[in-house]
This record gives sequence, structure tokens and C-alpha cells, in this order.
Amino acid sequence: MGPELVVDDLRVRFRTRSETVDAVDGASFTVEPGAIVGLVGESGSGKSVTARSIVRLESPGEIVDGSIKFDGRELTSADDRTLRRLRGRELAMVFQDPSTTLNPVYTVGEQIAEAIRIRENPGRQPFLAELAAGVSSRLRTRRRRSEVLELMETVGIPQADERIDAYPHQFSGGMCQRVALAMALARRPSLLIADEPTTALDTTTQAAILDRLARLNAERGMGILLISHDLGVVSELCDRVVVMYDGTVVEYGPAESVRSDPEHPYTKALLDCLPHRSEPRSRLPTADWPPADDRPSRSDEPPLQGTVLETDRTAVDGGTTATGERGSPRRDAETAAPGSDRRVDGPIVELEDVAASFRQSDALVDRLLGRDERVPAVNGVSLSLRAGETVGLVGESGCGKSTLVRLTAGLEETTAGEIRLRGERIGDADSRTDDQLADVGVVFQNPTTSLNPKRTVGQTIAEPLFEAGWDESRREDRIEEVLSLVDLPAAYAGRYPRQLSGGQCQRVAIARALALEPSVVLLDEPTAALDVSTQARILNLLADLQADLDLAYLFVSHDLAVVRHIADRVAVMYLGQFVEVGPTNRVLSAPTHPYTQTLLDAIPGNEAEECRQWDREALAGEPPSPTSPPDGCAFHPRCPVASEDCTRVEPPLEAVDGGRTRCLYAGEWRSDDSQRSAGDADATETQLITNSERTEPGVARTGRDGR
Amino acid sequence: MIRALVERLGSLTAVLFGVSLVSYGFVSLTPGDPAYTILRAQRQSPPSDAEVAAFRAEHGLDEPFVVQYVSWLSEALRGDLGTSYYTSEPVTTLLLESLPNTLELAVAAMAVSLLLAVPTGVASAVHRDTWIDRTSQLVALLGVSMPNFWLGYLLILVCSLWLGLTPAAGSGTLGHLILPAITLGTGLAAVVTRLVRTSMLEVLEAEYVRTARSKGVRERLVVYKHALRNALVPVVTIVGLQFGFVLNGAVIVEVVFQRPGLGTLLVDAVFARDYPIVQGVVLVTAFVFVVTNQLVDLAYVALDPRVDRGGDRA
Ligand code: SF4
Repeated sequence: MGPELVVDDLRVRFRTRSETVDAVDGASFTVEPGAIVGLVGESGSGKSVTARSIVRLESPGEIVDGSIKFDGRELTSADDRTLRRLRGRELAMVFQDPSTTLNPVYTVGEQIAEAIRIRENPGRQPFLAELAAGVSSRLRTRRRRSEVLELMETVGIPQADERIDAYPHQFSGGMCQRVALAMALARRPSLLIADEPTTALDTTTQAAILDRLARLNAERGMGILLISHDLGVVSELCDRVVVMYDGTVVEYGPAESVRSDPEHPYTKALLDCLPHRSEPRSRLPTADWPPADDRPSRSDEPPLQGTVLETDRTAVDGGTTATGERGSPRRDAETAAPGSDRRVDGPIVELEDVAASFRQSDALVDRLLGRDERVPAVNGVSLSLRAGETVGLVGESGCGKSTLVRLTAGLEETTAGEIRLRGERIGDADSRTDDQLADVGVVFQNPTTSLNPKRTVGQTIAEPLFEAGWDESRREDRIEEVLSLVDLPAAYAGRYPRQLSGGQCQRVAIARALALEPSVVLLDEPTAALDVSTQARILNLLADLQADLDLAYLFVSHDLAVVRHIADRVAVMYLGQFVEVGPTNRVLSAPTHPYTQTLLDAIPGNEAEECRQWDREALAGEPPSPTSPPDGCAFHPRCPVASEDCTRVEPPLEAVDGGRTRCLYAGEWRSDDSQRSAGDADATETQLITNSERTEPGVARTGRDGR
Repeated sequence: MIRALVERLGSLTAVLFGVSLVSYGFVSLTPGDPAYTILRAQRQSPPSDAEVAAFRAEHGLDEPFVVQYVSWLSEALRGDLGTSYYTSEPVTTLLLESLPNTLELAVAAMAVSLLLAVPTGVASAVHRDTWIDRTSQLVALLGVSMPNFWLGYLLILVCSLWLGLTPAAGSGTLGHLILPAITLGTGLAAVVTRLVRTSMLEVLEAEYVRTARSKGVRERLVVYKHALRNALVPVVTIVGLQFGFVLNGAVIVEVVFQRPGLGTLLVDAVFARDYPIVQGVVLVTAFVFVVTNQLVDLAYVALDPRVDRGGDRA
């Protein structure tokens, strides 16, 4: 077994012009040889800095105290040569965002080969030969090539032979992360440090990568230090868990006991605010600390030491309101009876057979030459949304869910079908009336990029009001009103986004969306960029607002746990089409489409019974390219229960079990896989008829399987 | 690939046509009758009206502008750019004689500037905010602010007259090339140094650079292999555009060092109102400029694989 990593009382300090921040303030833990240890915490907890300090990439920080011992050697004082040797042979690191961690100008083959060369001889690295190695786009020597191919296969890159000479931008995020993993494995490390390795990926891809890590650990005895904000991910994979808060380790122990019986209140609070542990539509407990306005940036998270965390629930129970209005009895009463007295009017927004496609190339020449190939992004989608209702929209990245939001918001034009708002057909934003524009609000994923950094909160919220022609005094009043709606003090109107935390920014974005009193709010991954405790607060806020204002939500998320918590109905999207639509509790507990099941299986740490545990590696295949969708059922290349017919017949969206599903064997595959073959013949015949009646382009497509 | 090539040739032709029209037009618009000036210079006394008329008829100067232009263009298409009003030598021959000299100077100047600028810029970025950085920034500032001709005379004074290291004027040997190339190259070097520095500073923060370090790549390779190639992408564009200014600068530098070349040819022709030569020089300069830009595009593709390679990807 390999060497042991011991971190003892590590302190890392960041010096900026105005202040010094102790990013890590006395962290101690041990990674035993061959163990998988998880390092969890929210942003600002110092977990990433700790991880980087181990390989001494802590810059711009500075290790001021403590020790890091690996295999008995002290790393904090090691010289560059020793460090390079260690990085090249023993301590490999994988970073978060695969789209930026690979060098865009070298082929993936070269980047992996470079790691092999360094491992073989870390001291040499001839300058000119290395420079020359990067110039050609092909790996020259055959031996090296086969070594690289072997590594690419180990991490599960299909058709490695064709892809070895490709550049990172030709790879999807999941594939890039596998390349990064291959680069790490090329060094045959005894310890792999993975810093949020799956955070930027789809859940299906995440599941596959986690499986891969577990397998590598078992096969090679390679120790893993997994840094993550996601307790689900960590508890699925790790033997032991280290929980960090504000630069210190607050809990350290076996994964099982930390999960089921956390000792520290912070860990408990963190676990409680995970949506998949809560009752759907209930209030989420939030790990709460002193009022949010004390926390302008992540560098000064409030101190924890000694304070007991109060959750929202306890705050309300005790009659004290830690966050101001947050726990007002009025709201409590309303949320106590969720959904019971929802108005059942006609739908506010209806989508009928909506389709949209994008030009592949914007070049004028291409358009003039008529080479105007269009990539379908959304295809034949129908959906209706009522007041007070939340529809969750789930699917992997690129499935068209964000496009659907943009279409509904009028930011994109439909190429077919129609969108109706209160029964009236609407086009893109330019052609909408002021009232129609006011009726739809949008909140985007990343609050820090969707807010203009040069405008104050007040100016940001005033923008839509100004457009709608409100005069100054009415604007002022409204700004104050919506700020109080999202539980921000009125004084925040004068602040700039950089003075706010991520959660507060998202509140401002919500306030802006609400400014014109919309009846529909489109939420595109509103909590994906937030910490779990912040996410819980935002989800609670959204629930309150919906109850107060009878809003309709279209809630896009890749996180099924969040959707289960907040949505009444779910629509599952795959390759631009709905594959399953229905009531949340039914769809997410007894899905009738295999793809929905796949998504459920991929939830990390999900041990619930609905989890069938299909081989995740197989499911993690990537969605086919929308330019050349597969024949028949679009999902068949990845479907574990696909039959011969699935490759030929395109299933329609049919009513099944309280919802609609696009599968030839909707629901049947669940009960008994063998029964299916018996019912095959009739099913296929009816499908064929329905299909030929519907002259959908999909049937006639001559696409081939893209991968 | 073929389509891309056709597109490029098309745009090249269009640009050259435009340039020829504009240059021809401007030359005809300049005040002063070339016939009178030239004849006067040749005879050393004012020519008679009849002589002027004869000269104008001989060189087609009495035709309307459009006719003049069309006939010049059709000749030009056949490679004949007319003859010098003075010496009656074909312009094409004159151009072919001086172009290589100028190109030699321009390329040498580019080489000098890149050899100076890239290492300085990189060093400046790597040792940000140290004395290395500050010195190189200061030198770059001086380089930008110093006029070409002044530096040229200074170099002649020091290197040729005082130290006697290099010949002061003329062309032919490497020794003749060094001083003009340095004179012409420093201005550009200063610009490129700053550019390389900024670009490198940005790239050194990139996550893939951190990845390279985490792999155990040694620092010199991190800088020159992983960072520099990315940093050069924006630099190449600017350098390509700067080539036009180098050609410009060559005019002055050639005069200072009395090197035969397009610059000296042009200056002489302008003073003598030898219009066919002026047009020829402008046209050739434009041609070189456009061709370099195409070469820059190619360099771009070689440096950055993300640039679409003329539609050969599926
Ligand atoms: S139609 Fe076939 S391939 Fe498609 S989801 Fe159903 S079983 Fe799978």
C-alpha cells in the first residue's frame, strides 16, 4: 500500500491590498494509504485551498504555519525539484472545470503523453524536445501512442484511437474530465486529489466518473482525497469525511457515522438543508447564521466557533426571527397547507408543438451559398402552466431546457408551433405588448454574471420599470416593495453586486424578475451556483413568493432532488423533446421512461428504493449530437431496455399512468423486462401506425448515430 | 479548403482593385501639371505650350480620367505598369529591382523586433512588478516614443562614425542591413513587448497553466510551452497589422540610410511627379500588405486549433 498523507494544523493566509484572510486556519486530518477521504464544506470554507496547498499550488496564498507530511516527507518546506518530482509521480490533482483546465492548443494525446514523459524522468524534461513535441498534432512514437491509448481506455473514453489527436474543444465536459483523469493516472500516483471533479458535469456523467474513481481505488489501491461541496457525492464514495467550515475542520470521521449521526451542529445543519432529505414542498431548514447583511463577500464568512447554528425552524419555533421577516406567522400559515387552495383557472402559459433550431454557422458566405444547416434544439414540445403551479424541467446539458426558457421569455424565436400567454399567441420579445412583457419574469443561473456589476441593486431592479415607463417616484416605491418581498433591507438598493453574497445576488435577480408583477416566472437553474444552505433559503423564498403572489414557475434544473422538492409536475427532456411529463411524486418515484430512471440512478448517494442501479457506466454515454439524431427512439443507444424495434420506430408521447411518456414500452419495462418481448408485436404495430400518421421529420431522418 | 482559397483570392483582387482606383484618383487630383513640371525640370527652362501638349498627348494625360484609368488598368493587368516619365524605364522593372531590398529590410526589422520583444515581454510578465518588469516597461516606452529617423541618425553617428563598426549607408551586405533593421525594428519591438506582457499575464493565470504545474512540468516549460503559445494568439494579429507600418517606416529609414528600395524610389518619384512610379509603389505595397494578412490568418490556424480551418470539420 502507498504512503500516508498527514495534514497537521495547516494555516494558509491570503494577503490582498486591503486585508489579510486566513483561508485555512488550523486544518488537521490524515489520508491513510489507499483510503478515499472526502473534504466537504461550502464556498469559503477553505477546502480547495487546503487541497491545493498539499501539492503546493496554494499561490496566491501562503502557508504560514503547520505541516503537510507525505510518506514521511515534509512538503511545506520542500524545494521546487522535490515538489516537481512528487507532482510528477505521486500526488496527482484533478481540478473542477474541465473546459478550462486542459490546454486548448495541444491535443489531448500530447497532454497525456507529456505526463507520462515526466513520470518516466521528472528531472530531465529537455527544453527544445518538449517544445517540439507540442507542435505536431500527432503523437509520433508508436509506443507512446499505445500507452496513451491504454490510459484513455482506462478512464472510459470510447473510440480513443480516433480521439487521441483531437483538441480539448472537440470534447464534451465529461470527456475532458476523463482526459484530465487520464493525465493524472499517467503519473501512477499513490494519491489522487480531486477538487470538485464532477461539479461542472451532468449527474449522469458525474455518476460515471465517481464509479470510475471507486474502481481505480479498488484496482490500484490509489488513495483519493475528494473535495466537494456535495455531501451526497462524498458520502457515496468516501470511507471517511472531513467537514470544513471557515478554515477549520469541524468534523472528521467515518462517512457512515457523519452522515447518519453528525456530531457537529454545522454538519447537521448542512445535511438538513439538502432537499432530498426533506418532504416535498415543505420548508427546508437552513443552516443559518447572523443576518445576511453582515456578509458582503465570501472571504469573511461569519465565525462559527462556539456559536450553535440555528435553523430557520428552531428560530420560528422559539418565536425569534433570526432573519427578520423570514419566519413571519402569516407565511408560515400559508406554507402549512401547500397546494391545497390553488386556483384552478385556465393555463397562463401554453406551449403547443413548439420547435426551435439554430444556425450551425453564422457566416454570411454560408448563408449566401445556401449552406444554412440548422440544428434542432427543441422539437414538438407542448406544455401548459397554471397560476400557482410549478413545473420542473429536467435533463442533461444540451437537451434544450434552457432554450425552452429563452423561447418562452421571447429571447429566442420559435421556428414552429405557438406559445400562448393567457390564450393570446405571443412571438419574440420585440413583438410583445408591454403587458405581455411584464407578465413573464426570468431568473438566470449565475447571479454574479447576470447582474451588471456597474449598477446598484436599485438601478438593476429599476431597469424593467424604466422600460415599462414608470415614473421616478413609483419606481422608488416599487424597488422598496420588491426588496422586502425577497427579504432584503431597503438600504440594499444603493449597493453594488460585488458587495453582496451569491445568495443575495440571486435575491436581487428574483426581485428584478418580480418588479413588473409577473404571473409567470421562468427560473433557469436558479440555485445551481449556490451553496446548499443558500440554496435552501432561496427555495424557501421561492415557495413563499409563490404562495403570496400565486405565481406560476417554470423551474429548470439538473438536480432532481431540488425539482422533487419544489415542483408539482415534472417534464423530462432529452434531445429537444419531452420524454416524460407527469406529476412529480409519480414520475420521480415510479418513472415510466427509462431515461427518467437513468437520471434517478445517477443521483449521488441515492439509496432509495426507486434506484435500480443499472450499470451507470453504460448509461453515462453522452447524448447523441442533435445534428444527427439516431433513428427510432432518440434514447435507444443509451437505453438499457432497448429492443430491436427501438432502433426503427420513433415512439410518440402517449398518456401513461397520469402523465405522458415517449417510450415503446412505457412503464412495462419496470414491472418485468421479460414480459416485454411478448407484448412486442402489437405494441410495435400500433406505434407504426401512429408514426406514419404523424408526419414528424424525425421518422424520415437519415441521421446516423453520432458517436 | 478550395472554397477558402477562392474566397481569399477574391478578396485579394477586390482590395487591389480598390487600392488602384484610389491611388490613381488621388494622384490625378494633386495640383500641378506633371507635364509642365517634368519638362521644366528636363530643360531647366519653362517649356512652351506646344511642348506641354505634346508631352500630355504622348503619355495619355489629355484623355478623360476614366479612359486614362481603364487603359492603365488593362495594361497593369498584363503586368505593364507604364514607364517612368523621366527615364522611360518600365515601372515594373524598377519595382522588381527595389522590392527585394525593401522586403529584406522589413523582414529583418520584424525579426529584430520579435527577437527583442518576445523574451522581454515574457520575462516582464513572469517577473511582474520586479525591477526586470519595470526596466523593460521603461525601455519599451522609450522605444515607442523615439522617432525612427532620429534613432537612425544616432546609430549612424555612434556605430559607423565613432566606432566604425558598420557602413553608414548603402546596401548589399549583412553589415549594411543591421543598422536599418534595428532602427526600424525597435519601434515595433516596443509595441509587441507590451502586448506579449499583457497577454502572458492573462494566460499565466489560466487554469491550464496551473494544471501544467500540477503535472510537475518545470517552470521554464510551463512558461514557454504551455503559456506562451496561447499568449501569442492575440499577438500574431497585431504583428501582422504592424507589418504595414513597418513598410511605412521603411520609406523613412531607407532615405536616412540611403538604401535603394521602394522608399527611396517613392520619395524620388513623388518629388519629380513621376506618377506611374508612385502608383506602382502604392499598388505593390498594398499587395504585400494584403498577402501578409493572409499569412497571419494561416499562422492563426497553426497556433490556435479552435479557429475553424476553412470548413473542413464536419
Ligand atoms: S422506446 Fe425503446 S429505446 Fe426508447 S426509451 Fe423506450 S425502451 Fe428505451
